[in-house]
Amino acid sequence: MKKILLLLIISFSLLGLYARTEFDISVFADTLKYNWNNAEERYQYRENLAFKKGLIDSYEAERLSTTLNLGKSAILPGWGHFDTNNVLRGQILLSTEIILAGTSFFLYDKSVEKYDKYKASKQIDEINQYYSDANRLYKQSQLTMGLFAAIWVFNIYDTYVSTNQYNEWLWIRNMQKELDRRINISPNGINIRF
Amino acid sequence: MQKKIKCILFSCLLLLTACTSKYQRAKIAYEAGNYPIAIEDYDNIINKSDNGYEITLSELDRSESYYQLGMRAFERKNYNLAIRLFYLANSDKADDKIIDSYLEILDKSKSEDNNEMVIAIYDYIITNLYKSPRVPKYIFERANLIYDWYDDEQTVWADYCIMNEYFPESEYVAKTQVIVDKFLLSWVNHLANQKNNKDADLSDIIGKLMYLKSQPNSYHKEISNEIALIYIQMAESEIVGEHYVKAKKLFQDALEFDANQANYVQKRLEDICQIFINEGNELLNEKKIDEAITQYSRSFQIIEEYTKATNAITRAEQRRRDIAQSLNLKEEGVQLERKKKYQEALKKYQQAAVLDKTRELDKLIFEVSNIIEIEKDPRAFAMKVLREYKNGLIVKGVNDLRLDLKEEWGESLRDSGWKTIGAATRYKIELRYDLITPDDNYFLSWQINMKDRTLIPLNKLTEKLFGK
Repeated sequence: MKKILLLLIISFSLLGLYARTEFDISVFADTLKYNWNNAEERYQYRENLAFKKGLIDSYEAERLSTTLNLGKSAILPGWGHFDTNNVLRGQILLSTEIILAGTSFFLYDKSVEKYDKYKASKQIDEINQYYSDANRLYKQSQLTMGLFAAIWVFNIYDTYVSTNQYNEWLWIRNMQKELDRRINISPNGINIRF
Repeated sequence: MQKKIKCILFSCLLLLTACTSKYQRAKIAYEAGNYPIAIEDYDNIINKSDNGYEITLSELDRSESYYQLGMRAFERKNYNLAIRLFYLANSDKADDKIIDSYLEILDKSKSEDNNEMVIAIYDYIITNLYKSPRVPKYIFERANLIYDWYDDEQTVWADYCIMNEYFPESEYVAKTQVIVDKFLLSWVNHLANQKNNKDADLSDIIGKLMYLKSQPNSYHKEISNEIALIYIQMAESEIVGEHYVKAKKLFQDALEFDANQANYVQKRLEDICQIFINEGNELLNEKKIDEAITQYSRSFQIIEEYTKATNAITRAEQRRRDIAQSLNLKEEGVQLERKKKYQEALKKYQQAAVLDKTRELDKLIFEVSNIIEIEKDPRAFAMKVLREYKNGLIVKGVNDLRLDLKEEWGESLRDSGWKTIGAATRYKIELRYDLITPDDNYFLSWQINMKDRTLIPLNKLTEKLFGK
């Protein structure tokens, strides 16, 4: 079973290499492949790219590091979300994790208490009762801890998604800001700065 | 347990490799110089990714990848492939290399005297790389070759226009202008000659000349002069059609192109104004004062504050006042005449006639003068009227008749001489002349209206002999 799983993983990893199609120079060097049907369209593409290139420096200075955000969320669930402006989601995740951790700790503590009573009991009915209680509370504590772990993992995943979404939004916002800066609409008409 | 952990770690590593971002994978290929693979990956990212930043980086790297591949083809002298790859690189430096590649092909074509290929290469460079700072040189070279090889002036002109539109600061503008100047004057003369055709569209000719003038050349002055002449020609047509304001506008347009026409234009504008003045004068003679002033005022549309028109309007206003005063004087005269103050009435009528001479006033003066004479001695005046009637026609006629009868009848003829019969009533009196012979009697009789100096024969014989 493990070998089959390993084989599947290796196949999945190498899938990219096998996906390459046969190289055809005429297709590769086809000057119409990017839909530049005339010189004007080709220059327009170049100007557009130059415009976007001009945004790279400011974007790189402002964008959030995915690794750093993941680290933050790993230490304190929801922390990474705060930086991506997802404050509510961060708050929900953080409070949920605190409640789950606290509940788990509480149940575990109760379980230990019951277990101590179980060990101190002399009567058979009490022994059975305390053992049963200690066992139930321990299981509940473990279940809550599992839930805590699951939400922590979700928190990490969601931080990754949120950070990427934030960065995508940041790029679009910067682009829009730059366009707004260049195009000024006034009662005298539209003014474009270069 | 240790084996289990190793297995999990290996799986994680493989998964991590598989999950490496597409951009990172493409970047690795790019940095390794594996450009075709990198380009393919970048194309995938550009087509599928939602990350604008990643797309932009991919586009930049893809451009550089094509450029590097193009350089490899260029070094191997595979210029056709190099051109296509540089085209796909779509950057300024790639465009430079496209031109370099084409120049290599151009040299070969020139050495083989393949003129069509040479022109085609220039066409491609100019059409597709028109923003390159190197293009002006090739526009000039193409224009030069086309003029030398094909004598195609239209294409040379088109090249020159492109040069001026996109590269007005280029040193090659002046060089191309030298070629254009060789044929431009003949174009101008050809257009100028067209204006003499009966059916020529003058606006169209002006449009064409303007277009020629819009480009720098050595014949701006000549073109301007021709445009001015055509505008003047159009203005003259408008004058014929009595569209004077249009004509003025066209004259002004002419002056914008040739200030030396100022004297002629001024004269023609004054001529137009004179037309209005003459028309106004005619209306003034008909005592249509308001219409006359309106007509005079039209001059101001042509020449502001035109002195002749201002004077004419002043004159018209004075005429209006004279007519009004003349009417008043006439009315006063009529009143005086009713009171039988004929001398004073005559004076008033004469004063009125000085201000506004009319037939009515002439008649009044004539009649009042007669009345004054009648008042003095009606019989003498009646004789005077008779003697002066048609330059003495009646007196002469009667004398002739008397002489004829005298000759025939001698002493037997009895002559009454002129007699006035009755008193002058209502300024009328009867005049008689009797000639009696043994055979016939001639009783001649007229009624004299002294007021208007008219005569009426009073019997058939008189009427028969002297007419009505």
